[in-house]
Amino acid sequence: MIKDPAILRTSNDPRELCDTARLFAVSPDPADQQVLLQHLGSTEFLDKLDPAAAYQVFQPHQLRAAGIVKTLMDQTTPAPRETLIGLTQSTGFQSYELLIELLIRALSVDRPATPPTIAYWEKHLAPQSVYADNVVRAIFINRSKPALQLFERVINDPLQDEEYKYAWLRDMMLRQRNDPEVLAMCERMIIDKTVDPSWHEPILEAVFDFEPSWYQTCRKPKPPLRILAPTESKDIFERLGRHAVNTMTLVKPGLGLTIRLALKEIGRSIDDENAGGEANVVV
Amino acid sequence: MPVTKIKVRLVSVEVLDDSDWLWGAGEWHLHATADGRPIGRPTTEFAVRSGDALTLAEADWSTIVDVSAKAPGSFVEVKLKIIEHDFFSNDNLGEVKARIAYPFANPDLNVNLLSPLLSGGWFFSDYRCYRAHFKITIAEEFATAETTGPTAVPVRRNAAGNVSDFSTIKGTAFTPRVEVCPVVPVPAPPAHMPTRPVMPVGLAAGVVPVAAQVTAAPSAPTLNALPNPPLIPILDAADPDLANRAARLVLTYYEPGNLDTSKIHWKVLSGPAQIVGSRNGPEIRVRGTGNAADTMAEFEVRWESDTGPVLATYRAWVGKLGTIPYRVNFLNGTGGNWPTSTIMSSAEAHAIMQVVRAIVYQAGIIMVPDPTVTVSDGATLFPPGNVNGIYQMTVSSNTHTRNVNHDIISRATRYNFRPGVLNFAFVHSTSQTNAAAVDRNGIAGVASKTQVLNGKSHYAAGGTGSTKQLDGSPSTSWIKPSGIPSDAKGVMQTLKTIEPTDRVAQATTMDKSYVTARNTALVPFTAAMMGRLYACHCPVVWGRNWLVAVPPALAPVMTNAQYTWNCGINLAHELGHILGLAHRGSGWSATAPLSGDGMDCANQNGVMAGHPWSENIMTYGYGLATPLAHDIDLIQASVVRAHPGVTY
Repeated sequence: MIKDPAILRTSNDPRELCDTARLFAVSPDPADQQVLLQHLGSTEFLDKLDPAAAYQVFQPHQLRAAGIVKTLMDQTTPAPRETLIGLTQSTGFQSYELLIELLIRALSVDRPATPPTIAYWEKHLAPQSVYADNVVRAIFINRSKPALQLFERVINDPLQDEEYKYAWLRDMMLRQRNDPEVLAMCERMIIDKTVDPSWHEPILEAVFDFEPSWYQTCRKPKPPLRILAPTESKDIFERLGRHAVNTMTLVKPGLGLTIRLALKEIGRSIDDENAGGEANVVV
Repeated sequence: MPVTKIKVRLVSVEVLDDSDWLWGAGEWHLHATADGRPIGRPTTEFAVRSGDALTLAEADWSTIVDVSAKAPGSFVEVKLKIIEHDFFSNDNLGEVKARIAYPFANPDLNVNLLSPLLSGGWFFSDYRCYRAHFKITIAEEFATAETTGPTAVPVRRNAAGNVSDFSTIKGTAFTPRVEVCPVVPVPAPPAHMPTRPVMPVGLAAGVVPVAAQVTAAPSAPTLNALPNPPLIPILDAADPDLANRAARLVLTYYEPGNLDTSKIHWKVLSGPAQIVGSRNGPEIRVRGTGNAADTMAEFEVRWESDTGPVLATYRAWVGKLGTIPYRVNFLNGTGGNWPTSTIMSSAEAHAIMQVVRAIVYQAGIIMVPDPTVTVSDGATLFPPGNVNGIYQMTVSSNTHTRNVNHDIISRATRYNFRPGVLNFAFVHSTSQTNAAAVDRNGIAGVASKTQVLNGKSHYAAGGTGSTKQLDGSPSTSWIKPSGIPSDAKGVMQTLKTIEPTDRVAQATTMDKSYVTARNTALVPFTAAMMGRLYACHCPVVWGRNWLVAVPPALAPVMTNAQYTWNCGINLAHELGHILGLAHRGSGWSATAPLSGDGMDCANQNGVMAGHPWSENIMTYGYGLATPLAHDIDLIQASVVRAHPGVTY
């Protein structure tokens, strides 16, 4: 296999096209990446990779183009990353809705998330966007501060559908709730009050609690084992828990107890503190 | 008779899609062996994608293993390692193996193996790459262990008149092993099955009759396509469609394999059931009689006559046929986006529903297209004039059909639903990629509470289902102890149902304007009617990738019949939830949580696991070239039959 741009232009063999494109994708040379970006933006090229029916019914990662994008994701040099980001502005690439979804997911490797990535995600997080779940999933894979700050803004956006916010907290965020960056975001949202107070309890619930009844799907999320959280995360769990129990009036029945149990689980029990009210429950 | 050769076949390999670990196409090479002998050619390259199912040609992907020199305690090891070839590097996707123990007497052994867990790193979840299905059958057996001896001997002495015992020509007494397992296909190892007695040396190995196997996609299945149902429907003896409606009872195993099955004689031991037609042979048809509420009937399989020795037992409910109407609603996106009715045709949807009907019929329920054609929400019959209960319409927001999130109280299921009618909402796709029974109203239990935040309702905690109990033998699905020799007598089993939703309480605010609008357009329509919404999200793109031939492959990975079959099982699984059933088995999880419905028992490895693991409709034994999940069992039948949408 040779890295020949002529193959990208002339071949009709999808596998040869894909393999050649992947040779360009691993290259740290900006010129090679420019060639690749040009072809990934070409509908003629994309149509040769997979039949039209595939673009109708496949999952994004099943497309042959996904193999090329994955190779770009796997590179750590700047030029391939620039190609990924460049695809956000590619009219041809963006004309396939499955490729939009694919790119939203692929940009999760852009850590810390750069402004073009944030802008692309923000565009597809608009109210009523069919891609919103994909963006939030990518944010919680990325888990860099700029990405998580975007999530904070979304939670605070009154135009964003409130029902989706709840679902995102309980699904995408809950799956990563041992992560120190995610917990730092929760700390900002609750203790620094970067989001409306009405969301403080739902956030605490997603951090400390888990209920199968929240989900109607067969594939319910699995929260990570709290005991495996790094020390940095346990510190934040404790700060959040103390803040909730000491300063908040928790409306949801049992949430205070749930928080205490979680803190006890990680060896940060506060059972002997705060006599009075629900917070005094001995567990 | 000693088994001297076995055939080991690698039937299929499924490329797992549980996490999006494989992007694009992969080039896979299968390195399979049995007792060190190669199976197939590792040089063969398969271009695969996530979610594909490779069905392997028997002629190429099987081998005969000579086991004549094997001794007690020995085994044949079956292995598969898959290497993904890439011009950057070749990746080992993991190895699976299983040991087939001496004396290799199982005539139809299906072994499903899940590849080991690999690390996904920061950007991907940990993942498993594939699931392999091996089939081991007997290729050769001899009358004696001596290779120069006779090649066949009589295995039964049938004295004149009624016989009460069996013997070999040497005079060794034995009792033939005959089974009528209620789960078809029969649960595969390591699932629990009652241990079979060891037969005298020289007898032919056992047989799993074809009728007890599900090996090919049914084409337009009849209502009684699935044998050994949990319910015998009450039918008129003059019913013109009796042949397709009467329950089919079949032998699922007999040994010796050359037993004269024409001498198998069936008897109704108790209960209002009557055998239709012949009472002899490996398969009979049965109808229920009378008009009573569901009653248990017991059957015996005897040798030759009503007074011959009892070889097997079976039991099933006898009950009235219930009916439940259904609608299929295709939800097309706005502005020509996200079309559903151009991705799947009405005819395909109808074919899928025939599979669902056949599965649900096991419980004595007939699904009928909603005879009322009154529409709402801009729906029209698709195509016009069809009588299959299939409609299409355009949604008001694309989020109601594209990437629909199951965990948000559904708008999609409201379109063109009619209270009391099952609603299969055919959306374009879902955020979780699968189907989901999101409106399980009317079933027993306590719905989760509702949290209201900023004027919007959300599912809260506290939902619980109900329980249903059943004791006696044979136990439901032959859960251990099954009451089938060599198991002890069956004991009380307690099934947990899925928690209900309560649309009226949970979505009062959300549905308010919808109710008002429908009450204006189509009076009368009340808020209480939302409580009779029985519905699921069904993404039309699910499984469609199997039908796309992608170069260099010359054909899609599945036939249309296999696709239809899998879709039918998928929707029947969701229907099971709508009617109250929770999960059985553990969804192929390697670290098995127990079944959601509590129906577990120790498997052959001594591990508590859902039973059956893959063959019940509430397991995940589908999405396969040969799907397994077909069965509804005794205790589940009594749950689904109590659904308020079923009329008798």
